[in-house]
Amino acid sequence: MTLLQRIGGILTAAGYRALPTRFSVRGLPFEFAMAFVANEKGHDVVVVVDLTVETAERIFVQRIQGLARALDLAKSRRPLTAILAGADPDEATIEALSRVCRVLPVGAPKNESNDQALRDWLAVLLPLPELEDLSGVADWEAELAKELASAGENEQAQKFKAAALHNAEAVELELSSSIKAEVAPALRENSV
Amino acid sequence: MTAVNLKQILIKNFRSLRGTVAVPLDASVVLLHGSNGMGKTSVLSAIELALSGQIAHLQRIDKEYAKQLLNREAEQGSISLFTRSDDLWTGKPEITINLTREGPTYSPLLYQEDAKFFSERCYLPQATLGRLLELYQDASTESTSQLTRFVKDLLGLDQLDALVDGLHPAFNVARVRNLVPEYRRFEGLVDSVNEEIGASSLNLQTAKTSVESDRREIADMLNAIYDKDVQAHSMLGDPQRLIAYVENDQADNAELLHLTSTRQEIQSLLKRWNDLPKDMGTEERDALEWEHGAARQRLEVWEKGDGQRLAAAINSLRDVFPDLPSSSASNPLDACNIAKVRAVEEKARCDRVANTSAAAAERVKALESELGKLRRRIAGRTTELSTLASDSSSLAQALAGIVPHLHDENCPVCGRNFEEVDEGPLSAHVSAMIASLTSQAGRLTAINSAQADDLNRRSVLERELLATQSGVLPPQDASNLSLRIAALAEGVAKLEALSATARIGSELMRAQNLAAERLSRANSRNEIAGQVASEASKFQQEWLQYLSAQPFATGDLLTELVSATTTRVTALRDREEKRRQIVRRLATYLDRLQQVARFEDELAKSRARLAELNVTSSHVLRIREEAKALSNAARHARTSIVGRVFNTALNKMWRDLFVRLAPQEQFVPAFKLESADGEPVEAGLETVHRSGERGGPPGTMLSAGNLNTAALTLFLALHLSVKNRLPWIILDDPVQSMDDVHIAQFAALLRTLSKNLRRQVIIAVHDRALFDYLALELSPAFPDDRLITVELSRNLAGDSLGTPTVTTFTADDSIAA
Repeated sequence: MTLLQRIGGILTAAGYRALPTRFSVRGLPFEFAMAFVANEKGHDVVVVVDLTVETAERIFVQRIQGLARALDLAKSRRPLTAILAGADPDEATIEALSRVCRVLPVGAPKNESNDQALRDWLAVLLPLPELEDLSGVADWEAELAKELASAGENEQAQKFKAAALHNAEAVELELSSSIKAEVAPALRENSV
Repeated sequence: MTAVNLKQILIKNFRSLRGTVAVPLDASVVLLHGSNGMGKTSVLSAIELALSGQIAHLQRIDKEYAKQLLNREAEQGSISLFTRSDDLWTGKPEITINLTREGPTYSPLLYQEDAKFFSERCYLPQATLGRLLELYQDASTESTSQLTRFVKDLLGLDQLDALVDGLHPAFNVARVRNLVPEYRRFEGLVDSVNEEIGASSLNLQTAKTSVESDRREIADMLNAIYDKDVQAHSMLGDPQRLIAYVENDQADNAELLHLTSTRQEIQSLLKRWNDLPKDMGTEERDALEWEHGAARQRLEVWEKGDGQRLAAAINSLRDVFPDLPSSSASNPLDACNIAKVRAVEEKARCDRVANTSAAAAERVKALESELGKLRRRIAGRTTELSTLASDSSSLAQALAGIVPHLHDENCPVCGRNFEEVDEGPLSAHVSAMIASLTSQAGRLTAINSAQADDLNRRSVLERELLATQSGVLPPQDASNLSLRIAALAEGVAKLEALSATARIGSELMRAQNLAAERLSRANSRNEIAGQVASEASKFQQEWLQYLSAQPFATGDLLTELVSATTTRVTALRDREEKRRQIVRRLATYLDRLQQVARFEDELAKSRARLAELNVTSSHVLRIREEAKALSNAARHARTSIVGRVFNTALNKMWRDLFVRLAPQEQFVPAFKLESADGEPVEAGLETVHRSGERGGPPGTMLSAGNLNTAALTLFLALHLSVKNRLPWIILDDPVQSMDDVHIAQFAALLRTLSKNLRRQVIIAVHDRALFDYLALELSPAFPDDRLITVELSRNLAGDSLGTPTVTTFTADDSIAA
């Protein structure tokens, strides 16, 4: 799979709609290796420049600046993102482009099975991963039972656990009253 | 998630805001712009105060910050916050806080737990952003760094913490003692029982030693008395029997008894001997004889002369008093005096009898005369009474009863006419008859009464007469009495005359008796001396073996005998005393043996008690071991839960966020969980290279911009770690030291939070270009999406102004395919 295909796959999977390679803004024609617009919750415009093909940086910089200007003139509020793929662009190029749009110089990341490096570059365009509610995920009793498996659980441990449902003071009280109950008969006998 | 938008906030004279500023908040994104000092932070703080009741970052710096909330130039101020929903996020849809110099008074809109969540994970003040990493990692006190606390809050590890903390005392016996004072007392009890055992052992040892020495001592004592008595020695092991044996030893008793009485006899002999008068000479004895003879002669002369006369005088009275002592047999003077006294007394008695008799005779005469008169009067009355009708009184009454029936001259009794007798009218006749009868009756009564008196008097006199007659002596007796009186008078007179003679007789008799006694005593002395000597020689034979000398003089012999018997008695008593000593010694020996038994018993009891206490100790130890095991298990469980959650979920989220903002940074910040085995989890921060290698802490590995990014994304990751909590993200100038690339990425992230995750995002920025850029980037992208921008400034008077602009969605058709 080519780099461009991988980028396209990631973006379309994230809900971006591919534009034709040729599209117009207020009648002005533009051509990019790939172009996308965001789904209904966003209105980003994403263009992809294949630096392995377009080696003349001045030309594609001008094209992107032109697109940005056209959007401005059209009073569009669509944010523009340029993905520079295939090679590392010059610092000057990035700086120049950064004035008019978001630049993602993905370069030529390794072709990994999960495309982690590429995904990291594109992350800003992707929705946040499904959130995991971490509160209360721990089943403390089960975890504790696992730990105690070797030692086994007895009545005393059950009492401590019951007290733990309240707070540390309750556990401490259980500890102290257990010990108290053990020594009480001896003390009582002594005081008789 | 429920869409709850904050709707509007009205702020009056709060901190740097002077006058009233209204900030609309009813949009998914609110952008606040203002140059420094225009009050951006004040607006955000006002929101925090209204929602949570505090301004956390000020609280950290100044506990008294509440008094500084009112604008310095104002007297009073207020904050009113309105929400668009009456959802149960908040207790009520709106709140108004009045500000005074003393601080605000109100209860916040959020419940306490939510307020805390808001302050920590919804609102990121500028002041906190710079310190966030530091803040989260700051563990000034054990396990209370905010990060650690966050971990615990997040995961609900309270139960495990409760186990770890609550069972903490079990690990150290000193803490157990503090926790359970009874345990301290119990340990004291164990110590004291141990001490008792030590003391009892020592006592037992000492007592046993004493018993041994007692035994030897008693054996020696036995030797002194029972040196040949094997039986006595054999009983040494049984002191009680030995005591009985020694106490019952009567061997010496009979001898001692005999010896004691013998000695008494000898002593009394010695006393008799010593009491004997001195043996006198023959001449002295003759004088006594002569003296006795002379006295005797004088007495005989007296007896033949005066004595005869005295005897005669006394004998003359012997008719009357046959028992009178004779003058010769007893003391003549006494005999004379006794006779005289008796005679005088008898004479006086006889005189009295004679006088009484005479008086009685007189009275008899008088009585007889009176009785004669009385008897004649009584006889006279008797004659008169016989003439008087005895029933005149009742007849008079009967006649009176007839009177009412007299109607004419016809008698109602006999029916005859009274006129026939011609003695006046019948009624007059009857009345005269009644009067006569009544007069007779009165006289009869008077005579009867007088007669009764006289009869009484007669019987009294007759009785007296009889009594008096008995007191009159018969004539024969009276004559004899006179003779006796005369004889007694004569006797008394004689004795009076002989009184002096009797005294002389008495003297003579006494002198003779004295001489006789002296003589007789002299005669008896030799007889006694002979008896004593004979007795003494008898004892001498008996005590021959004990005598040291054999004197012949009776006195010396007796003295020697006394001494010998005394020595023997002393020896026997000494043996007796020794036996008593043995018995006493045996008694204490017995006591000591019992003491040994008692100590052995005590020792056994103490040891048994210690064994019981040791069982209890082991139980307590078992509880502690169980507590420790559970505590350790809880610790491990906690570590493993925390580790799992952090390593899998949280770090993933943080990495994702961080990478979005800094795609080029090779070191990604991450939570690091340091936990030595068994120690509480301590969360820290580190960096991880994208290759998976671990780097140093963020502070040393990241640039200032990326540190800021790390902090920002940490905040967002923590915010996102809990679903369904509060839907607000409020950031105060979050972009510090960020280059344009990062800012663009950040804008995209904000957009995602707002558009995809439906958070209401409120951001204050001071940079104009950034503000414009964000306004563009965050502009509404779909219907109902809305952006509010507020420009904060001041008018010429210095009052704060808030100028809002609301941007709504408009379809963008600029791009055509």
